[in-house]
Amino acid sequence: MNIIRTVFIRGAYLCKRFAIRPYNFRMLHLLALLPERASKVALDVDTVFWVVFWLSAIAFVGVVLTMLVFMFKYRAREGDEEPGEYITHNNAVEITWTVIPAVGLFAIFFLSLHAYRRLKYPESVALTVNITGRQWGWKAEYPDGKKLITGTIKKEGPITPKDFSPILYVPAGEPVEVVLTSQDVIHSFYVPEFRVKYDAVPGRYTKLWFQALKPGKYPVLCTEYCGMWHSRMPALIVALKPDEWERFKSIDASTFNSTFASMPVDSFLAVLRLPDEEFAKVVGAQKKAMASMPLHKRGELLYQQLCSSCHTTDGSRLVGPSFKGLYGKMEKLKDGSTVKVDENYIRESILDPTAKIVAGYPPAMPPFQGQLSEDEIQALIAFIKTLK
Amino acid sequence: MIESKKVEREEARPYETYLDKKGLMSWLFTLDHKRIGLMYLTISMLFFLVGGLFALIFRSELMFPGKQFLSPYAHNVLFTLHGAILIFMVIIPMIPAGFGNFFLPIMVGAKDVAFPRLNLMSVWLFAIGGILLLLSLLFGPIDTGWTFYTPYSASKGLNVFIVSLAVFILGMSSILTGLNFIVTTHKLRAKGMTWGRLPLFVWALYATSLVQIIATPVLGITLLLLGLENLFHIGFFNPKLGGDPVLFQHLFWFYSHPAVYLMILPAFGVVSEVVSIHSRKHIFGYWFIAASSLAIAFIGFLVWGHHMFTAGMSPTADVLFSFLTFFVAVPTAVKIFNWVATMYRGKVRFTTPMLYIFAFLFIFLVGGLTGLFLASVGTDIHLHDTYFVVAHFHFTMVGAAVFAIFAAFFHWLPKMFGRMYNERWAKVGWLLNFVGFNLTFIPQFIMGSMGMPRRYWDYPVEFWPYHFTSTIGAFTIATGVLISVAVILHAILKGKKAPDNPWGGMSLEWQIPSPPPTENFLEEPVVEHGPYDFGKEEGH
Repeated sequence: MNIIRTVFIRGAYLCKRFAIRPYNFRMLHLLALLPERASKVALDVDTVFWVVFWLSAIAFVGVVLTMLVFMFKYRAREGDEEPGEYITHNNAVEITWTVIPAVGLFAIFFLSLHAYRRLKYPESVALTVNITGRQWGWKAEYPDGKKLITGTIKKEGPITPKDFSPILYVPAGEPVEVVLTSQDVIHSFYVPEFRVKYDAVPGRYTKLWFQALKPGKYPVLCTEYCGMWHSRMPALIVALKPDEWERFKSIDASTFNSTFASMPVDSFLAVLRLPDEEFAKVVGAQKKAMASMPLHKRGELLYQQLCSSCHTTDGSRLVGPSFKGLYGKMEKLKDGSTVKVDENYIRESILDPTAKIVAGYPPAMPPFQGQLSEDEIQALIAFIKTLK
Repeated sequence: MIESKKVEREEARPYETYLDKKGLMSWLFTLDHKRIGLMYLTISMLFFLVGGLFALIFRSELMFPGKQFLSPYAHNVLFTLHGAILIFMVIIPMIPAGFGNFFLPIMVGAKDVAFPRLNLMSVWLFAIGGILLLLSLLFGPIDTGWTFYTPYSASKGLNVFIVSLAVFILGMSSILTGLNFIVTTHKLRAKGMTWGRLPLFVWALYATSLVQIIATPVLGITLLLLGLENLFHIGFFNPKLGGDPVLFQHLFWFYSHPAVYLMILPAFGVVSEVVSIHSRKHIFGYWFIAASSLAIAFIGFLVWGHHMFTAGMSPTADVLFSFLTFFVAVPTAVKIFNWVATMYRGKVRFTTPMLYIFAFLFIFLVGGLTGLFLASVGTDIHLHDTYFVVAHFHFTMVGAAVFAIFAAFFHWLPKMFGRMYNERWAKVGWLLNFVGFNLTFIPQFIMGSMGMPRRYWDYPVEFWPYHFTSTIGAFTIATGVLISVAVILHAILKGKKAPDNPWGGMSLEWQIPSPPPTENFLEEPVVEHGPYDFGKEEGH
């Protein structure tokens, strides 16, 4: 009885907390079945979906009705021990019901090829972004150096799209190409509203493209099982209006990466929507703050973007050793030797991590050679030094 | 009292049945195919309950969004074991190695399978594999999913090695059974048992055995490579060691797609038997059904790539695999039409096995038709690795294969034990299973097409109502399964005595006394008619 009560109370709470009411409930859009159609190819995909749906529905109803009619019409009456009529086969019937489904199936196949071609080959590409999956989050890099990084949502309570951080800002109405890869295991980049999905495979590149029909926020979900927090690495694609997109492009990469990249979507959108002068003022102020920011503060921002999924600052263990008290420590290495953690060791470990591996840890870190500027490395070292 | 009962029994059976010998050793070292079949069924049934229990636990976790009582890791371990146990220990072996072992030799008119000792070895291997699978829990449970996708599974060391060793051993057992069945069907048919008089169950097992001996070695090799990679860091699949993770998927699905036909073909065989006997009518299109089993077995080898439409294959491969996948739907459709047509002008009886076949046809139709959404490469991109896929394969694997297993149980129980089951409670179990099944998996179709990814420990809150309904359905199935298992156990222990041929079947297994004599036939059988010649008059 207690269980039933708990279930009831939990259910009522959820309805109230998340304003789940019959009328704003996706479930009651039962006839919609598919999520919002927010990309250009979605219509092609959905057309195939609905053609297959209705053909299947007709086939299903036809066969089940026939079966029910036969079952009841030819049921054995009480006490009837006679066998049924002796009918063994009919080749004309067999050939008919082999050929008709075959024709229908090939029709569906050809229809779906059209959607597949649209999904696979964009007519043109306005923007190409590189996205890298990792356990458990995504990293996006724009051609001009802007970077967005999303992480793992580890809270125990329920999550909604409000908890998701942005992974991409894209112009609505423009074709965007995403080049995917992964730095550890296979992930899959899935945007239900765009009907696109592709696996992010380590060691190779895969591509997908989409063209958002209108501005809005669209969830990205990982659909290839990738370990413990597979369900908690969602992100958002934010499609911007043309003028917002122009504003976005105008921000230089280092200012964006150090400040706006980690801003909640709505605050950043508010900035993009400011009047011209104020926008320039805000960006200018951020740039200044960035320039006058203490070295270790800049290091902390970089840490959150790049290192925090594998290294903690509180002494606990993740994939790699914690940064707490790291500087100045004597580390025991895999080959048995010992090394003092100084500036040069940290620098080497960032740029070429497998050169000296700490005993007891896997050689899991990707090299950052060529990815960080001298400035950024110094900032990171300064930050690590502050973690006593 | 006990004494007199025993005497009565002996009077009723003036021959030695296969159940008469007592003692554990008489079971463990038996060469009798019927006893080996029963051992398979017992082991599989136990694992079926365990695997189902795992599903109940993680479905309870998923009943509400957010964390309830399982950590993400525990959830991932549970769905991995749920899949691995139910696939390798239940759905693959239960009909062929369980019912097949028991009935194939009888149906072809033989005293036993061709290689009884090999048969004993395969049940031993099966038990060892099962124990190893459970022992892996002690060494460190794996959370890779039953698909073991690399590179996630390639750096787990001993844990993955033990599980892949277990599956390797199970595969070995499966190969030996397949080999045994093929030789038995070719060499041990009784006088007059022509290929055209083989029951369709035997045809289905024959097609299954072909798949077993051709595809399973590939799984063995793949898992061996995975094991070596984990123990000795040889880079087959891990890109950090120079391997290719997608190669693993090709090798894995080269076995595992044919394996879904391993699971469903024997079920098709059961349907053919039950639908004909319980409609008291000749099966419609015997040769078309037999040939479609072989066609499915053959084409089944050419479609593995449809599991990888989003994995980065070339577009040519995507399109080709999509085309071939549609092709495999044709023989499947032919089978369904033939089963429905069998009822035409028959005398359909609403027995429990027949009710399971109605449920089978209903559910398998949905499972098959939703397969079209996944076969068409345009829509698969959207639906791939969502709950739509989960619902689709549960409709084909559980709704169809497991329902066929129950149909087989109730159909052959009177023959196997000479006891009748309680028809009323068996039907209650059927109703709960059927309703619960649809309640569990139809919401999964909807949430899948709405974009709910599979293998999620937690989900965005908007998917909650579907998950909630699904969990309620899971508990309904659990109730139905417990009732059905209780009915079966009750029938075996305390059921009323069953006549030798309660359904009026015409194949050989119904012509011998129940339970079957140790050597199956009291006198050498000579086959003079087909297995489905209901209502055939002289001169036909």
